[in-house]
Amino acid sequence: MTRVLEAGNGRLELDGFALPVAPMAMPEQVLERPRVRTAFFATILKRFAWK
Amino acid sequence: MMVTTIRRVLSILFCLLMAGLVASLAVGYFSSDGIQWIDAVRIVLLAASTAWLAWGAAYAFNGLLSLPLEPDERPFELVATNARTAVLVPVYNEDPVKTFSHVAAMIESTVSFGVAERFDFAILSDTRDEQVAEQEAHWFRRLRQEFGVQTNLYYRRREMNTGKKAGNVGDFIRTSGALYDYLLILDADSLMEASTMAEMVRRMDNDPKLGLLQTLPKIVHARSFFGRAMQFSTGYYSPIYTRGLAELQGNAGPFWGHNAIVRTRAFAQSCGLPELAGKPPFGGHILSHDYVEAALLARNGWTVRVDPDLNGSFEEGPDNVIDFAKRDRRWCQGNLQHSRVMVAPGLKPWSRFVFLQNIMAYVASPLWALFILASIAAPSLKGVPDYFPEPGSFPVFPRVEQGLALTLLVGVFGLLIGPKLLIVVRGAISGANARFGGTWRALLNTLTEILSTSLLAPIMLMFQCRAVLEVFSGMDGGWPATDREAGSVSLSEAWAASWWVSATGFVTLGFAFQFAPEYVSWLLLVAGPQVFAPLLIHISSWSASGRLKDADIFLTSADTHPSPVVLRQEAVLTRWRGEGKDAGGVAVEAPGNLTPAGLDR
Repeated sequence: MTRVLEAGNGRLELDGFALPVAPMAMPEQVLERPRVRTAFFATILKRFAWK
Repeated sequence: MMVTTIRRVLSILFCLLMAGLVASLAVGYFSSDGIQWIDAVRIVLLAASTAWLAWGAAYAFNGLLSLPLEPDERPFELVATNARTAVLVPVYNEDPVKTFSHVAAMIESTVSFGVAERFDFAILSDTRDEQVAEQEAHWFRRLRQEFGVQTNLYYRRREMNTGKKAGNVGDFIRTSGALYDYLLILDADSLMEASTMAEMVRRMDNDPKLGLLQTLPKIVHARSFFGRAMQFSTGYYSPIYTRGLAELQGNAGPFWGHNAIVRTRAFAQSCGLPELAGKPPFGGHILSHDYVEAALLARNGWTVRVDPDLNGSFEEGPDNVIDFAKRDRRWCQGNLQHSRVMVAPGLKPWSRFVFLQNIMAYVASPLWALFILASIAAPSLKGVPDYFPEPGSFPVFPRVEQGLALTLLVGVFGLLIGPKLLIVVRGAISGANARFGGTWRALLNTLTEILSTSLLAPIMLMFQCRAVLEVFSGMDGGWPATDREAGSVSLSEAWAASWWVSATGFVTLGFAFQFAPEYVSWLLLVAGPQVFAPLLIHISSWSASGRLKDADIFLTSADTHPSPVVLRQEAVLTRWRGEGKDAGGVAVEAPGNLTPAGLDR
């Protein structure tokens, strides 16, 4: 995703100023609760499922 | 924490008390000809709107009562640190000459303060316009030639601007975050003194639980009447409101998206934002990501704090109502999106309450509009009064309680105006008014600001109502670039943007004459400015900063004691623009040559 601006015309010479590479993980956070209705029906179905 | 809880409870009780008082006054006024269902609707709407106004006043009262009267203004001391900080400047189609002059001034500031080796500067471009991108490349090279020896300076442009600004910062962390203890997140128009930057690092070093430290940026470079009114407002009132906010924040303070420092590890661990399920405006990327990030940091046990004493932090603001409304449209969509986030698992109750406030900040306008509509409709919806409640006795005529109406109006306006007048009183006691031309000048400018706000607020009310309606009807406002240098608005531009506000004002008055003539005089306060919306927008946008400054209108410390970093930036910008050199095949001539935001209009 990251791209240093390419020096297409040979004048920009920006490659030397690319960001230094030292990655850090950034896990995606949980913001939304699972839909209650879906979870409720899933529980009911499990309970009444054929054993 | 106990004191904070007590303050919070008292503040909420104050709002409820004010809402109750106004509701009881309204019951007295509306019941002069008997209470009916439409009156109940009006009373509920008025009480809800008053509670919201009172909440703003509660922030002010907490700030007014906070000690010391004046924050310590001694210069920040330089303390040794091993921490490395990246100063992030996300850009998106802004004028690069202008933006990079801000970076240049901050680099100069770090050099002269002796902290250049502590800060690396990274310009993170999300620019989509190729012409602007070429300009960025050109001016980055220029910036590097002049200032690159003194500091580490980076530039990168993303191919896709996934996740907007939050995605841009996230991309930096995923690429380079492990190198830095802290990230100082700025906006393209931000400026900060090196001493403030170093002090923020010191405070982060001193409190290992501190995840984010926010400053209160003051507005600089306002040119129009509208812009200078905002500059005065943020310079004179906002420190008190922010002190109030700081008294109530506990560990779950605010993040305003820029002019703040974050602990990289905390931010990376807590603030990876997912896309919300569904389509915009309520689904998709989170627009008002800053408040969500603050809530997520607090959820993970990190402290988020605003320190109002951190001066030396600046930003620029819109210079006319139209640009203000454009920015407000984006904020409105982002804040209403918080309705999806406020139920997220594990959030602190105060964070949820903050989300509620963010939603209310925009829903309040439609509530006022509905109250006005209900008041116009009320006389027609009511039945004929019963003049003979007891058969055979004398007729009883409805009493018109003008005294109650006046008390109601004074009470509601008092919540808006009262805190501002008390800030003048406090400034007189503490001596803070000296930086604003003395107490009489500060009072005069406060009254001028109140008058201009009273005229423009009904127009903003309509823009906000429209924004809320658009969001609720599923319209995505997108992510327009901010044109911070857009100056005056011509009358024809103002007419094109606000004729519908004018029409609404006319229709409101027409209906009022027809159906509720007793309310016409009250409604003139709201509908009157709306009728003249194009004219007011046009006049308030006049670029007259020199004349206004000469006349000490909206005088602030930005005029009397400009900060060195602001002066440095002005000098660099004047020099660069004066050169008018060819930039990557695109001529750079006058400041107005590149107006990328204009392309998005």
